[in-house]
Amino acid sequence: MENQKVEELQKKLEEAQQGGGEQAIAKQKSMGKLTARERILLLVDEGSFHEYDLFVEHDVRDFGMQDKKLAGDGVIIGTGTLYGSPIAIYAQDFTVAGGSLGSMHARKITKIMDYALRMRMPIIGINDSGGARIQEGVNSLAGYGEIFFRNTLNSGVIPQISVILGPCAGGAVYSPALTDFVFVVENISKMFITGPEVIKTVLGEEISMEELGGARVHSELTGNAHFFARSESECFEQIKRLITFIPWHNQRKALAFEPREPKPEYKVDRIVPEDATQPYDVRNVIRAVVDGSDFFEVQELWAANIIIGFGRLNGDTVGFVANQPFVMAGVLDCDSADKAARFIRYCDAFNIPLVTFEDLPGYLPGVDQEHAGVIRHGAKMLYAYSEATVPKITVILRKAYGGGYIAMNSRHLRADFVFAWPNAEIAVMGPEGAANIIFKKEITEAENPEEMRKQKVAEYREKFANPYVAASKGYIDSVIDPKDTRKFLLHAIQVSVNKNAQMPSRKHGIPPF
Amino acid sequence: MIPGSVCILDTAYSTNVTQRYLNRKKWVKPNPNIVLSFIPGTILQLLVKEGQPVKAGDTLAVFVAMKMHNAVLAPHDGKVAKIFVGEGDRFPKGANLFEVVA
Repeated sequence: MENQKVEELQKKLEEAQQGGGEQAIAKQKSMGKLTARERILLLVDEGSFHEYDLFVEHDVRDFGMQDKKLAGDGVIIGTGTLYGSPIAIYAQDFTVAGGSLGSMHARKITKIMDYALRMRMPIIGINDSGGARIQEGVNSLAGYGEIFFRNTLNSGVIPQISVILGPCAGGAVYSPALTDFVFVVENISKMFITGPEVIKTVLGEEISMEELGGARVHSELTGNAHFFARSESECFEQIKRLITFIPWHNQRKALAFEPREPKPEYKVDRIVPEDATQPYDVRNVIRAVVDGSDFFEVQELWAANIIIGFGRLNGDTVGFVANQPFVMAGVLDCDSADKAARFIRYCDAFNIPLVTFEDLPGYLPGVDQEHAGVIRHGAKMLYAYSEATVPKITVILRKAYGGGYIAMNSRHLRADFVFAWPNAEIAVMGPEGAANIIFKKEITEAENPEEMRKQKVAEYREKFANPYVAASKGYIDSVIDPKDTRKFLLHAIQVSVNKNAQMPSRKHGIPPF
Repeated sequence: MIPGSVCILDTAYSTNVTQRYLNRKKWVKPNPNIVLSFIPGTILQLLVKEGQPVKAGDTLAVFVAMKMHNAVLAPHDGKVAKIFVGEGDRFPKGANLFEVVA
């Protein structure tokens, strides 16, 4: 008798695990996509996945839905381990009614989100859904709302990771947008509020899904996505790598690794050209100082004039923010300020110390920037740096001009340590611009204005474009030999391990977003 | 990304330039006499003719956008110098609709 019951259970499980059935699975495969179950099993430690709510059924009695049985109501939820640590996961199953979101589907997702918060473990959500289940009407909308609310509750407490492996359209896009990191895959991910069809009917504009909201669009143009992959397996590798750098919840530190020296091919003192107008790749400076030269970049393709990402110093995770002279001369603009600000807040929320490498000529001039709100967006960065209470260290590599100097984690925003390389230029503006203003009269009245201009630029550079003026005021703690950068960083992190800085008690601040 | 240079306060920095930067539109001083569309739509009805005098706030046309009927109002007193659209025409955002000369 007992055996019979167990057999019955086995049969039920097998049936439910079939998802949308053979035909639907074949269709999913033909689109180059894995099934929801395959995705989960690829992501978590082998044999660790445990599923819940497999027998949940929808309760819709209209539009012929009463006769339709939907396996797991189109979503798989469960827990598992990743590198032996607990993790919560859900995956929408496109083979079951297009992964459409009905009220029970949503209730499964919110259930696993609640678990994740209660157990303080990261949650990974795999999105592959045609959108709201129209037959369920407002109940479907209620489901989305319940998810968004929990995304906000969980924010900054447990890591929330969204993986877009199919369509994610309409209201559904706002759950990923509320989470910490969004992963997309070329030709598979599609995110938009209104699709090409609607845009064509209403506006007469013709555009393909990929051009409107494909992986590349969100990685390069909108900044909605943080990681771009060419295949699902590459995407899963990226997720697993990210997980090694971040703590499991906000009361913990990221897992420490065995300390390693940077690779000898990265010579920290040979990367930055002395001529302030010449570009270089600042990522090589980061690689020259982090453990094993292992730098994990976030949002590589969007607003590439600022670099953000994770590395390790002496085995512990550190968040890096660096101006990138290689792209747009490393200027600050609307997008780069926005990108850096959010990353700084992420690191602050999850106890990750911040290291800033500074080399920027200022803010990008232009009517388009001013009218796009560079004041408001730039302010986000000031806010994020000022508010962060994790250890904050700045190294001025070369240029630190004007508002950019203040914004890039200056002493005045309560940086814990500010170091500068000997050829750093710290001033209100670059020598050329400054000389043209201060010595305008001398230059225009000179017999040879061009010669006089050169002379005055040199004079200004000599007098102000160096780190010692700032060092004489204590705005810079030490002027250091570039070769000692790692040594100074390791020590700064070591002595700030028990840092205790607090913001005034309040409900929350009002950052400019 | 295309190699190029970016000029900031008299200094040209050699660097790569983003596509977005290259695509940026040059700002032009708006002509206060030109009535632009603020949303894409379709002209339903023209209520004025070229040469007709109008008062500020007069309805010049009715158009459909996002399933709603919207009115185009005269920005100031004057004369309708030119009508750029006809009934049934579809127009994008920022298109010239009318010229009203004070």
